[in-house]
Amino acid sequence: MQVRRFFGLFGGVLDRSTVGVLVLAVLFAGTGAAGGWSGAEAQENALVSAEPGAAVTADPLTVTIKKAYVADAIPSLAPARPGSRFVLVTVTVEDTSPRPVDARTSAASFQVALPGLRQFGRPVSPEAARPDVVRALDATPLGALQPGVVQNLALVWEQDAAQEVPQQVSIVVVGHTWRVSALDGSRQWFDPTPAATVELPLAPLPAV
Amino acid sequence: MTTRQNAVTGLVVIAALAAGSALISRVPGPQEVALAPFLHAGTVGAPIHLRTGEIVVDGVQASTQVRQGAITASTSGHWLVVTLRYTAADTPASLAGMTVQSRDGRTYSLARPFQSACGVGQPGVTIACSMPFELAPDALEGAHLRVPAALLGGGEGDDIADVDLGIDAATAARLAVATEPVRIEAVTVVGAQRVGGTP
Amino acid sequence: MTSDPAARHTGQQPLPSWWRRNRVALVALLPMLALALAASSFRYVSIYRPTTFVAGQVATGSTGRFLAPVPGAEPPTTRDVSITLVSATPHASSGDLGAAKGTRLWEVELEFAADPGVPLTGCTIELLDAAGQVYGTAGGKPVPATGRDRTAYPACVPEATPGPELDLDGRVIPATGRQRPASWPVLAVIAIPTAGTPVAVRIHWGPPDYAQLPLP
Repeated sequence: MQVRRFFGLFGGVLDRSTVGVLVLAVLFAGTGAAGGWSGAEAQENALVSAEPGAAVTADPLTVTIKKAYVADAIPSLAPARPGSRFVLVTVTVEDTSPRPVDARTSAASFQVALPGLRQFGRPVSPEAARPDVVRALDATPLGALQPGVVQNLALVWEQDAAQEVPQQVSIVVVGHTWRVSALDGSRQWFDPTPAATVELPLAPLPAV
Repeated sequence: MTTRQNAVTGLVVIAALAAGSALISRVPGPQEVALAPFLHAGTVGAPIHLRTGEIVVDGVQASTQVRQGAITASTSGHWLVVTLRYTAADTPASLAGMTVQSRDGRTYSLARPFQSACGVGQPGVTIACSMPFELAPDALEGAHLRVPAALLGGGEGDDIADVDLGIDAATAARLAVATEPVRIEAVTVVGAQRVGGTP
Repeated sequence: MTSDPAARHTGQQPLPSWWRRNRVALVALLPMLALALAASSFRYVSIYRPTTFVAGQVATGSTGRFLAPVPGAEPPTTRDVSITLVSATPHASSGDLGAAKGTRLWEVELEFAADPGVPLTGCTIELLDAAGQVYGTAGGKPVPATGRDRTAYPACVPEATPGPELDLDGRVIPATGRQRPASWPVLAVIAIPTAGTPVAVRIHWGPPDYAQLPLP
């Protein structure tokens, strides 16, 4: 009865559509205040964890991470450099999209979570560090990943030797999308999205 | 207007919008039309005229290894080496952005360690190039070579030569088992026609 | 209340025809269309056209003065160079280069004269024929036994004293060391089909400005 009387005071302002709008406003404000959709987004973007040797999908690539080694120099891939050591990861990759993946995007598809990474002689963050990519079949630097061709690749990252020798490494495989650039209308591989993570023990490089 | 007229107007507007958007989604947009390439279909041995010059595809070879100078590259698929001749038209130009399209719609590009362009061509002077493409095992049959007139834009709104490489099932089977390494030269200058100067 | 002029008319005289009523607008229609087209062509004038060779400085004798601003240079710089055509002769071979079948190698000798502070690196030297075909220095020459065609890109400035250079952002990098001489020779080797006859030499550092000298 009191409630009826209270709402009666607003009789001139409140009608059914206004009440409807107010309820929706409260709903949206409440959702926003509670964090919005970020929780669901985080769940959707959660990294898939995979075992070494298992095939991982990170469109446009299907990747199998094989082995990881750490050494102060890698014959023919990374000559010794004072103050640095190298991390070598061997992978098998196939481009499952209908177009080639250029060398830059291929290198950007792999990240390692290690401290003290260096590139071109300067410290760089794990997200920005790009490995040198070499084809294991003929020791040539990777030019592009062609669709449907299975490649064995050697990825080499450089780390500051002042850091502790890592015992294991977490490799993140990053997917990309082929779309039109909003900037100049060209088509390229954009939107790096971490898709999976593989944890590997780091062994010292066996003498060949 | 009465409520009934309002409702009818609203419905008519919605119907018109729906019909209009259905029509527009079926018709190519102005951007699509402006960027559509001018395809020139051709076959091996036939000259094809592009805006920047004339090309003739001489033939194809396949192998699992290609050698150029000191570089040897192998593949788990097939190397398809396309040999072609190019005569530039009015200004010096190079053929870049060439791709091989397989029958199932996949695109294969030129990449390191070999050169990605056939050039530089001089007007009236024919040059010959061998371009090695790394193809997936099942992509040989029905492959086409696509040559855009210029690299910028990748052939959008420009001439593109679409050359049927003539790889039928029997040829594909023969090429697939070829393992003899193919030795290629980057660019060789063939020369100019003696008679006449205009292309 | 209605917009029908016929209704407003008293009906005592015949209504003037639509054409007569709108004669001013109809007469102005064509000029207005032309002006609208011109206004919407600003992109052609300011962006597309300057990528073609539209600003030529064509000489009638063997010497021409080339004067043009360097596009995008920091600080704003002008290229002021006097170019003289010394000779242009065809040969069957030039240095370690041999002409390909059906072609001849034209040796074009020029002389550049400019202030030591003018950036002149990165020039392009081309031969033009009467039909408008352009022959450049990079194409049509078989690779020599030494493995590299050093004449593919002509040396526009003396090797030891190149003078100021431009970096990728357009900044002028001042010259260091000895000063560039007041004038120096420039040689270009261009392969042209034997049947072709060049009529002029074109020298430029990028469109739209170029210098052109007639061949004797």
